[in-house]
Amino acid sequence: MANLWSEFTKLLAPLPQVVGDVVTKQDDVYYIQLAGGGTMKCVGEKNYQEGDRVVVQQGRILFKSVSLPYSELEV
Amino acid sequence: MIVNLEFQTLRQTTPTTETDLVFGQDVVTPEIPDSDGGIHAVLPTMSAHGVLNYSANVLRKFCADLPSSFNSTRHSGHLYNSNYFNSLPLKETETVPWGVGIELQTGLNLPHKQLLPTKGTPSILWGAGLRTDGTDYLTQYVQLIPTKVLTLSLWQSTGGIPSGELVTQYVQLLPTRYAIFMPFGGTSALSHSFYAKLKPSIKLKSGWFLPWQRAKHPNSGHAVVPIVPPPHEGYVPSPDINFICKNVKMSAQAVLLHFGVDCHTPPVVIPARKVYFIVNEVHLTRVSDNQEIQILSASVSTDKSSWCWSFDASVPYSQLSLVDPQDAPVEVELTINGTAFRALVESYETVETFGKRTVSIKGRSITALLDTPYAHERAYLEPTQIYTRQFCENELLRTDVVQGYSLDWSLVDDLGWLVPENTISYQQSSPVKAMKKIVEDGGGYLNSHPSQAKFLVKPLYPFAPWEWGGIAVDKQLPIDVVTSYKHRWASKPTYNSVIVTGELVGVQCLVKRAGTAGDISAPMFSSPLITSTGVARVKGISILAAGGKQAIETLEMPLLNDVGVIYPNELIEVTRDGSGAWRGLVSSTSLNVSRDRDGGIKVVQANELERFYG
Repeated sequence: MANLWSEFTKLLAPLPQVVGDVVTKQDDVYYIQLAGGGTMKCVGEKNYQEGDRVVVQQGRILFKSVSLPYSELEV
Repeated sequence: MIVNLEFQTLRQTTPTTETDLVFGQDVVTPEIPDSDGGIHAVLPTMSAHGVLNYSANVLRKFCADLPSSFNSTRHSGHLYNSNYFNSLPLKETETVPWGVGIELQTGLNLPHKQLLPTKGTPSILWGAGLRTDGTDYLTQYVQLIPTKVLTLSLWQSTGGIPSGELVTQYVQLLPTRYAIFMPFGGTSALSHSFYAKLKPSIKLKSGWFLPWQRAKHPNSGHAVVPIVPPPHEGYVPSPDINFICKNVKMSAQAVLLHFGVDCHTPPVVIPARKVYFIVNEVHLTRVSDNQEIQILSASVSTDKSSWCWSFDASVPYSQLSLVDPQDAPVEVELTINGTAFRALVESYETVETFGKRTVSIKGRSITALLDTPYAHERAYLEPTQIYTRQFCENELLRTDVVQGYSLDWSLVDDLGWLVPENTISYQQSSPVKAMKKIVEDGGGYLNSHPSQAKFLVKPLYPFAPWEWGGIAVDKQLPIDVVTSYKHRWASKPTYNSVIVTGELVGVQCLVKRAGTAGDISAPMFSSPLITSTGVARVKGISILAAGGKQAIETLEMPLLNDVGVIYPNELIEVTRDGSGAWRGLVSSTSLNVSRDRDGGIKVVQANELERFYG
């Protein structure tokens, strides 16, 4: 039988962190182009510029990231 | 005429306007009465020779008299049209007998009004003046305000010197508080850990396998048909080399070179029979003194989302003293058909039903000593570049935990993967929680050995589900040995790609299922521990494998000696009537021990398998 506590915590777990680039900004509202595809709107307390790579969670920018080496893997 | 004039004395002013000029010889002159007359003479151009003697050693006081009683002014420009502007009162004392008058009330025809007496002796020359009307007065000067010179000093200003207390003209200045920037925080002592690239060698087990024993006479009363050994044909090499099997991590001393068709160890195959004879044997002992504990029922279980085995047992009340964990957890060993499970009894409860008192005890694997409440939680930042396996081994060597635990690592690589400095960080974690976070971010799971002080680190999916058809299974079971079979459909969204990325360092990889367009992407996974393509691949497989059409198959069967305990992560093939086989990956294992009414021991093994469709 599966671990019930583990299954329960999965239900309450916060949304995962995602990485994307700032496309546009309006005051403290930023539009993020996610690396995995899709666009989302989030808020950020600091002044991020267009093109900045940021880490987002729960609709809020956590911190500024960097562009990492990109590769494709087939499994 | 030449007149010699000698000026030997200083000039002195005389109160009169008359000057006596005597030219020529000194003669006795009669007293001349005072008169108002004068001398009128016409003299030629005069030349004079003078000598001025003075002493340079005389100290002459420098003094400067202010020629004016007004402050310096500047041109007022054309802003004001007044003769006089507000001037500063002279600092001279003057006694004013009367203070400021009070305005007469309208309607009263009084020439004078009573003035208020002056409070004290004011030392001002002028009283409060009224603001001048700009049209009545014209002045070219306005009052200047002293310029405050800006000074830049490294020292802060201090308070004045208390009068009468200090005899020095200088006061001690306080140094300016500079903000100090330290690139490094506090450090902690390094744990003494050593990593050896080469493990101690293991003695090779040399032996001989003889297919035939030495012949002997048959026992009395038995007739044995003699078997003629087949002739030995010798080694026949085969050029059929198979390289389609994936690399499997194993010990260097256990590398098997197969040059035949099948390069894997044949799986355990259980034949389908009508009857299976099973003799169960269960023992529960206390490890400290090997004291046997009577047992009524017991169960052990684990799964891929648990880092340890759970232990439950029911014992007679008379056995409570043997398993009482009030002072410290009691280590017990449960042996089921030769397979040992060690656990720490951490809690118990007594149950009394119809005069029958029993004790229910619960516990976890002996690796629980590295978790709360036995191990302390701490916050930590790894300051050096380190392999994840080495980091986890350092957690086992923490000075505040029980020593003697080891790690069986088979995730990504033998050493794990390399993580840069200042990347691994955790807060309020015991060694178990710290290792669990590392392993799960790398696409694996943490578990415990059933009987040894050892942690197991394995990938969630050793092989992707879409590759299971070409991989040798660990065990092959006929459906005949299964006493209970439950099928639960649990379909999930199907993805064929996922972005796995680091955060500040590392790599960003698109992990795509081979043979697909990779156009249906799973939610991105981001972690600071994604620092190499190796860990990104394993994590990507675990994300893609968790989706798709799948079912949870629950099998219950007796604990056959040929099958043994089926552990998590084993690939099982279940056959039905020799056909219709399907494969599943074990996700959980539990063993339940009970007694029949006649006292016989019954052992049931229950396993959950993940079965994928396409």
